[in-house]
Order: sequence, then structure tokens, then C-alpha cells
Amino acid sequence: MTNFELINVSKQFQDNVVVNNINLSIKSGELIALLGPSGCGKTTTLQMMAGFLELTSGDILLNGKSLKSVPPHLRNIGIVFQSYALFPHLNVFDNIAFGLRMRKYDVETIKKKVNEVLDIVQLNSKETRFPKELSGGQQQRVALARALVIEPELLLLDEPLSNLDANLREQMRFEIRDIQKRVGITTIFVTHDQAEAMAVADRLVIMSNGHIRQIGTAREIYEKPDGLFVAEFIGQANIFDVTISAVHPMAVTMLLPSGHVAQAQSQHLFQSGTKTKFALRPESIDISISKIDDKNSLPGIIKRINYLGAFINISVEIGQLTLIVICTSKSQSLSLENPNVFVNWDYTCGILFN
Amino acid sequence: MCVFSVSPVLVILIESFTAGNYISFPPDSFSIKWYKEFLKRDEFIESVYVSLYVALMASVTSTFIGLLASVAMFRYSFFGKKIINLLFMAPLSLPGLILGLSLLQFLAINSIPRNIFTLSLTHIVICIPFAIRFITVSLTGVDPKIEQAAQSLGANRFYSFWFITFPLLRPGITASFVFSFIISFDEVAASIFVSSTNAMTLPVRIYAYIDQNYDPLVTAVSSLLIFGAAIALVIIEKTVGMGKLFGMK
Repeated sequence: MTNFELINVSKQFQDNVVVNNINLSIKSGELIALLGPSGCGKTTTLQMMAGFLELTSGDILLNGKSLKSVPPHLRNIGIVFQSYALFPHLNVFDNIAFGLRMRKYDVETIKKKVNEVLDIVQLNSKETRFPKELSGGQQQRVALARALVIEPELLLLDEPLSNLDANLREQMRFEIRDIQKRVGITTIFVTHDQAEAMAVADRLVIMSNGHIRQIGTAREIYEKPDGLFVAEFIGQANIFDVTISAVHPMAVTMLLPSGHVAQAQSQHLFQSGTKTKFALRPESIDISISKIDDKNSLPGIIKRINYLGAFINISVEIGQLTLIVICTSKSQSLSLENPNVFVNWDYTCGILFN
Repeated sequence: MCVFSVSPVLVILIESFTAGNYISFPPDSFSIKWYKEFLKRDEFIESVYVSLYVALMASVTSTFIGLLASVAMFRYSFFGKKIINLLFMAPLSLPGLILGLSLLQFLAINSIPRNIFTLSLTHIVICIPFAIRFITVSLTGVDPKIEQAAQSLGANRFYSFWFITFPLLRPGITASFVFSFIISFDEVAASIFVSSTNAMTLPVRIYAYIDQNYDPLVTAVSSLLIFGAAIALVIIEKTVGMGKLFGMK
């Protein structure tokens, strides 16, 4: 059963179309990450979901009912802002109780609910403190508690971890995910950090320039990026121009800029002579001393080796083409003393764009 | 520096206790007769009430208008915003003299009598820029997202302003109120033109008096003002605390 839907939603400011006809269907209990670079329209989309911005066109449905004419204070949507937006003049208890007081719950019920949610975020001893007395991580948990206590239909998180330092971010992303799963609330998580999105979300929605480029699980998006933007935005990729030199059933032979040829799988029927782009993940490539037979195996020269602990990052030149290769440190010892190697990848690896 | 600014006040205080009929420093003999004399002068007493009334009107009204204007201009963009902002701030650029003179002409041409209301209006105009300044400063310290947060939690636009933003603006509102009161009470330049026989503020009364007289009555009046201000400050400090009043603690 679909819980939350965006249908042909667009937002235009004068001549500038910031959000361009996006469609999204979110199932009950899902955690969706809205991921994209700055300016892609994800925050504008969030503001429209929350009711702070009017839609230029399209509709937003919550459990089948249109939210278009519903003002923000009646939408029953919990929000955690990037700056947390805690009320500085109220202590932790009153901050969290605010939503309950607006709903006119009695004192006993308020006390019970606030304590329950303080339990969930593990801040029981901090009721009487004021926001300025709390650390960033604690403030974030208060913001989360405040949004959850009203038992909203939907939870919106607007880059909630951006203001935290790196270690805390990693820890908090899993804590938020745990809480979300336990409470079972449908959640939309806006971020520009792909590692965060991939670690935490059931599905990712990749946005750029006001459009949705792809919706899928982390694996789907990483292994089968739909389009150049997604391939470049998620993870690392070697992307280079190729010319189709021969067409086979479900496969092609392509001419690389270096003059070498390689085989690739393709669902799409290409025409010989077409110029297009090919994307190859660094970890799909391995390096050997001699040519390998049933893979694409091209001669190259090692230009740079970076030992990164668990991985080695290698830069190999094949003619005018430079490929980044990532292999584990356990693989054979490579050194700049013997730079002439072969670069190999399976025929099934990589994505050919059309 | 401190001595330099305080000494004229001290001199006036000391002179006010003179037993003689001229202002002299130091006085030959001491008496409180000029204080008694002040109590006999109805026109001075009346001016005290006028000044208090006008200052109260000016501070309350300019703070209220200033609050509405600041929030509107800080939060929203609308057509003509820059011009309106300039209009609100314009009185700052006018010397009180020019303001008073032009208001006098305006009132005369439109046959509007000079009374305590037009006097209050003048002071309100003078104080509004200050009110807007103080409250805007407070506004800059408030995260604009907290009103959105309040709304998401169920507070409509009015409640989110009343329960969340308004309390956070208290330092600015208080500063606006206090400073507007002081500015209004001490205002001379414009008030000279807009005052009339039945509505004359105390500073204007004093000014008119010393134009014609040389006796120490005005030193007594001034000293009473100084005592009044000192008592007010002590009360504020003992009850709320000066720092807290302006939101600095």
C-alpha cells in the first residue's frame, strides 16, 4: 500500500524551473534518500512536501489524500532541520512537549510520551537542559525526539547530519536508521552525501537539475547507473568516449581512444560507427603481468600507486586513456619499477550509454 | 573620561541646593527652597505629566509598529520593500529641527491643532527607526527555521510567532521600549515647534524658562530628573538585572 506520493510535481520561481515534473511513490515504512548535488532541487522538494512552499503544478498525496490545500501545521509531518531549529528559550522537555501541547494533550500523557521518546533517543537525564548546553549530537537527538513524539505520518530529515563531525555522522546515521526501523515510520532523508544515502536508505532517489535521474536500491544504482550523471555521481567510475566498431547479438566491440578494442555487453542495439560513452568501475579492473585470455586485456603503463591500507589505488595509462584501478592490498605486489602491465576486465563489466 | 561626563551633572546637583537667587558654583549657603518652588509651579508639574505621557505613548506605539515592520521586512520580500524600508528609516536622517518645523507647517496648513496627540505623533515618528533597529538586531539572532519547526509541530502562523519568535525578541523589544522612552523624554529640537501652551514637554518648558530667567529653578528640576532616572535604574537592576533586560546574560 502506497503511503506517500508525488505526482508530476513542479516548482517554478519566475523563469527558473527548480523542480521539474517529478514523480515518486513511497511505501509505508520505507526510508528513502533524496540524493543529489547542491541546487538539484531536493530541498525545494522537501519544502513542498512539508507545506512551506506551494507547488507550481502537480500534487502530493498522503494516504491517498491530497495535501495541496493543507497548511503545514495540519499535515502531521515531523521535520528535522539541518540546523535542528531547537527552541532556544525552552528546555529539552518543553522543546519535545511543544507538539503535544499544541495538540492539547493533558499533562500526564505529555509526561509519559516525552519520557518514552527520550528513552528512544537515549537522552533521559537531559530533560531540564537548554539547547545551548548540549553538544551537536545531543541537539540532533532532541530534534529527532521532538519530531517523533507527535507520532507523525511521515518524517522528513533535511540534511540532519551535515553539521556533525565525521565520526559522529557515521555513528548517528545508523542510530537514526535503527530508530526509524523500530518506530516503523515512513521517512524521507535529504542529503548530498552518497555514502550516507547508500548506507541508510531502502531506496535512493538521485536528483539533478530538478529532475529525478534514477530511483533504486543502492546496489541497483551502483551497478546499473541509468545515465551519465548517476554513473559519475555515485562512487568512482572511469568514463571515456568509445566508437562502436562491430555489433554482435547482445554485445559490441568498441574502439577505445587509445586505439585498442574491447568487448562490452549491451541490451541496446547499436549501429556501427556510433560514438558514445563507456563507464567502468575501478574495482572491476585487475592488473596482471601478462595478457589474459577470456577477458578484455589491454597493455598499459603504471603511472601512480597509492597504498590506502585496505585498498591500493592505481593509475594506469593506456595510450592517451588513463584508468583508475582499485584492488585489495592482498593482490600481487605491484611497483613502479615494473610499470608495463596488462589491465583486465570482464566482458560483462561496465555500462555502455546510449 | 568618566569624571569628564559626570561632572556637569554633579555641578547641577550641587547648584540646585543653593539658598541664593542666582545660579552660582559653589553655592554660598544651602537650602531646598528651589525644590519647594518647583512644586508650586503648576506649569512645570503639568509638563512632567505631558512628558511622561508622550514618552509612554511614543515608546509603546513605536515599539509595536517597529515590531510589525521589522518582522515583515526581515522575513518577507514584497513589492516596494526597499522604499518602505527607507521611509521608515528616514526620520533618522532629519535633524529634529527640520522635522519639527516641517510638521508645524503641515499642521498649520491642514488646520490641525497642536496638542498632546500631535506631539505624541511627532515622537513616534522620531522613535520608530530606533525600534526597528533594535528589533531587527534581535531577529538576526533567531534561526528562521524555528518558526517552520513550530508549524510542523502543529502551531499555526500566529501561535508559532507568539510562542516561539516573540519570546526570543524580548531583548530587542525591551531595548526599543527603554531607548524610545529616553529619546522621547529628552527630545527638544522637534518638540519646541510642535509644543503648544497646553501641551509642552518638560525639556521645552525648561528651555523656554531659562531663556527669560536666571534663577536656579531649572537646576532643581534637572536634579529631580536625575534622581528619577537613578531610582529607575536601581529598580531595574534589583528586579530584572540590567544585563538580563537587554538579553546579555
